[in-house]
Parts: sequence; C-alpha cells; structure tokens
Amino acid sequence: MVAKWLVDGRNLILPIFIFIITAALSVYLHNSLRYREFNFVSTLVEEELKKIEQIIYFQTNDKFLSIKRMAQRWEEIGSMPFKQLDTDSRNYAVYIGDGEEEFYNNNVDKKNLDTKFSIERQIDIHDKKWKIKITPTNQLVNNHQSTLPLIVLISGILIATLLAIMARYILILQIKSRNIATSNNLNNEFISTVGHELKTSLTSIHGVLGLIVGGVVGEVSDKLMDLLRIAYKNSERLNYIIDDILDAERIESGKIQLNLQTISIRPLLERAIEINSVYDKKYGVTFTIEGSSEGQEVIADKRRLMQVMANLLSNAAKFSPKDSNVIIRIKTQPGKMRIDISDKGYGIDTMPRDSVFKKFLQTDYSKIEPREETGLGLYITKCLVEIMNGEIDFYSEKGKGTTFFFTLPIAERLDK
Amino acid sequence: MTKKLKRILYIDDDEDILIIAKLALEKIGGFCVQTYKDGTEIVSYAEKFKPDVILLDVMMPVINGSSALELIKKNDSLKDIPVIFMTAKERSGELSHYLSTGVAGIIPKPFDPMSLSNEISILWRQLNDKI
Repeated sequence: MVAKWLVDGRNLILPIFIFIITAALSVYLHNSLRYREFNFVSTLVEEELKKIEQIIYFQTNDKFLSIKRMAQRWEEIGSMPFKQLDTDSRNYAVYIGDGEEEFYNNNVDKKNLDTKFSIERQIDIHDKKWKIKITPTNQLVNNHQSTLPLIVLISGILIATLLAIMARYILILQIKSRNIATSNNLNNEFISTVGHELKTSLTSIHGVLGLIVGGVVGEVSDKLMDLLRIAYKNSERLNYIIDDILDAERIESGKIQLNLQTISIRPLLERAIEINSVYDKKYGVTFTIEGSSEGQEVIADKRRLMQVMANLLSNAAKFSPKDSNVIIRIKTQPGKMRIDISDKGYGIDTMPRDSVFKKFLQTDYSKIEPREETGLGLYITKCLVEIMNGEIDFYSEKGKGTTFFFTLPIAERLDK
Repeated sequence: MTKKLKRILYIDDDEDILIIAKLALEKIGGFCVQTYKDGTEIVSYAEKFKPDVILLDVMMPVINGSSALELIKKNDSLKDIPVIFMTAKERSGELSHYLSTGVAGIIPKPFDPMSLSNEISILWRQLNDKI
C-alpha cells in the first residue's frame, strides 16, 4: 500500500521539486562549511611557510655564503635554524633545499600527510633562491575539520525527504477534499433535482384534483367529491412534506447556506405577517406586533428568518381559538433580541417538553387539519434559529395558550 | 386605469402542467392562453401572440427560463411584457434571487389551479400600479 502510494504518479512534480531544492540547499551549506574549514587549514599551512621563510631570512644574512655553505655551517653549529623547525613544525612535513640539493627534511611519514594542502614555493632570500615544500599531517587537518558539514548534509537530505512526503500528503488530502466537495455538490444537486421532479409530478396531480374539486370540469357525485377532496388535501400535504424533508436533510448534512446580514426586525416581522396573512384569514385570528427594537438590528439570514416566522405564525394561528389575537412581542435583551409569539390556544400539555422540537413530532391531529402537519416544522425552526446563533424555547399553560420565543444576536452598531 | 389582462403565453416542458394551467386560466380566469413546450422560439411566439403576460418554467431542457427571459428582455418590442416564473425549484422563499434578474413575479409549483388566475391577476395589478 505504501509502495503504491509512493509511486502513484499524481502530483509528484511539486514534492520532487521541493526535495531537489531542499537537498541542493543542504549540499550548498555542506560545501560552504567544508570550504571554510579547508581555507582555515590552507591559511595555517601558509602561515607556517611564512614562519619558515622568516627563520631562514634571519639566519642566513650572510649574503656572501652560498646556500650549501650556509647549510654546512648550520650543521656545524648545531642544526640552526632547522632545530627550531623541528620543534615548531611537528605537524608538517618540511623540505628545504635550493632546487637541486636537499638541506633539510624533518622526515615525517608520507602516509600521515594530507598532500592536498601541500605548498611548494621558490623564494628569494638575500638574493639566493630557496625551495620550500610544506605539507600538513592528517592529524592537523583532522583537528580542524568538524562533523558539522556532514551533519548539515544528512539533516538537509532528511528534511528534504520529509518536506517532499508532507507536500505529497497535503496534495493527496487536497485531492480527497476536492473529491468530497464534488461529491457534496453532486449530492446537493441530486437532492435539489429529486425535489424538483417530485414537485413537478405533484403539480399535475394537485392541479387535476384541484380542477375537479373546484368544479371546473363539471359536476361529480358527492361521494366521489369527498374522496377527491381527501386526495387533493393530501397532495397539498405532500408538498409541505417534500419542502420540509429537503430542508431537514440540508440542515442535518450541514449543506444549508446562510446569508447573514444586519436586519431591522420590526419591518421584517410586519412583512412576515403580511406574507402569512393567509393563516389569520383562514383561522380567524389577528396578528399583532408589540414592543420595539429601539432602532437596533439583528444578525440573521433574511430568508431563513422569514421561514422561522412562517412556521411559528402558522402554528400559533392553527392552535388559536377563532377571533383571538396572536401577539408578536419584540424584547431587547443584552446582546440579543427576543421575539415572542403567543397564542391563546389550549396549550401544550400532553407531550414531554423535550419532544416538542423533535423530528416528526406527533400532535393531536384532531385539532388541526391533516394537510398542515408534517411533524418537521418546529424541528426545522429550532435548527434554523440555532444556526443563526440564536436560541428557541417555549412556555405553555393549559387552557391559556403557548408562547414560543427565540433570540437572535444584535448587530454591533458602527457608531458605538 | 389599469389595462385588462387578457392574453397569457405559458412555456413549460411538462405537457400535463400546460394542460392543467391552460384549463384553469381559461375556465376560471377567462384568459386567452397559448402554451408551448419549448422556449427556443419564444420571441416569435410572443411576437405573433402578443401576450400581456408570459409565464415561464425555470428548469427546461433545451432553453431554461432565465435564458428565455434574456431573449425577451433583449427584444425591444417584447422587453416590457411582464414575465412570471413558474417553478418547482425548492420553496418559494428561496427563489427571491430570481427577482433580481428582471422577473415580475414567481409562482411556486405545485400551484393551486383554482387560485392561479387570481395570483396572476394580483401580480398584474401590482405591476400596473407601479407604472
């Protein structure tokens, strides 16, 4: 599996490029450090050579004697200056002569010499030509060469390998995440298409039934009409179910997209009442707004907030007695705005409190028309409020009514 | 005085929906309705029929509603005819973005055949009031 992963040809160029660049950098650093050390040893050898030059200069000031004669005299008086050389230059092999004859050689074993640092020079001292050759010992060279360049090289190659593997891994992750995004898009598209197709078919069924029930195509028997009305109402209910199921799926899979913006709450509530006026007419209730947002705005998605209001207003209307008021109250709280929707219905008393916002909530169907109920409305409402960074809850008193309330964060004002 | 709405051109790739809508609009609204399954020739249909309102399905295979709308808006003699989108694409609340493309209104599918004529008449009145 590892081998397959390594040889997989997709997107190898970047990791290889990273490896080459990093490895080349480490080789460059290694060579630079080695070069500095090399220079240092060369300087030492050069300095030693100068020292020998100076010794010869001061010890051979008799310009009338030949080099050979001087050397003989040094021999006679005790090997000066070469005795001093023996002491000072134990780290070097030194050869001194006049180009033809050797006068001095400190006889260091050739095996111990590092000849790449060797210097051989012809020097004029007191009008006489001296030939000097100096070679450092391996020990001297080694003393001035550290393992740092090698460590730098090995570390560099390791880092290069690591970076290349990381680059490859990131590329593979990118490909995977791109594939997941594509698959999510396809899934989104699939859900949207299924929804569209279901609704298109439903349009025909609902339309045909509507025309028959509406008497447009002629009269039918009462019994048949009763059955057709049932079919018609259920086709309508099916539409609500499709909408709610699509919404619930989008929320649960995190595919719902919000367009959060600052919204003036009062005009939005007025518009929500206007749009949902079908419910107040149908159930004989009046929607009334109380309270003020005191010029403050909330942060929310306008469309989704409208959907929340539509769900809560339709619920309140459905459960309200005829000719009653549904009050929408705006309250400003620290950092948030609270909106209460209160009905004067019979209250929620027969179900556990925590099940109210659950999916496929089972209500008492005898109290509302079946086509209005999908069991997803409050679940979707809660999810929408929460993804807009708000909270939702309710309180209810048997026989007196129910208040659903939700909060939304207040937008920070720029002039503050 | 508001001009009376008489002639409606409806383009939708679903033949069943065209039959239902035509029946509903003619029988209930009393409008003169012409329907087509494909919007490619929308300009010539509109030039011949001279509708007061054009109803367009959004998702159609050959030419979609937005492209058909573009053809209408590009034509000097047709550009002022109100175009209403009839769409099954998700819920009505999510279709507001179409309004920015020059659509006069949106009627979500499934529509109620009994109130379809009324819905179109209301939109027609609102548009005329604006003018």
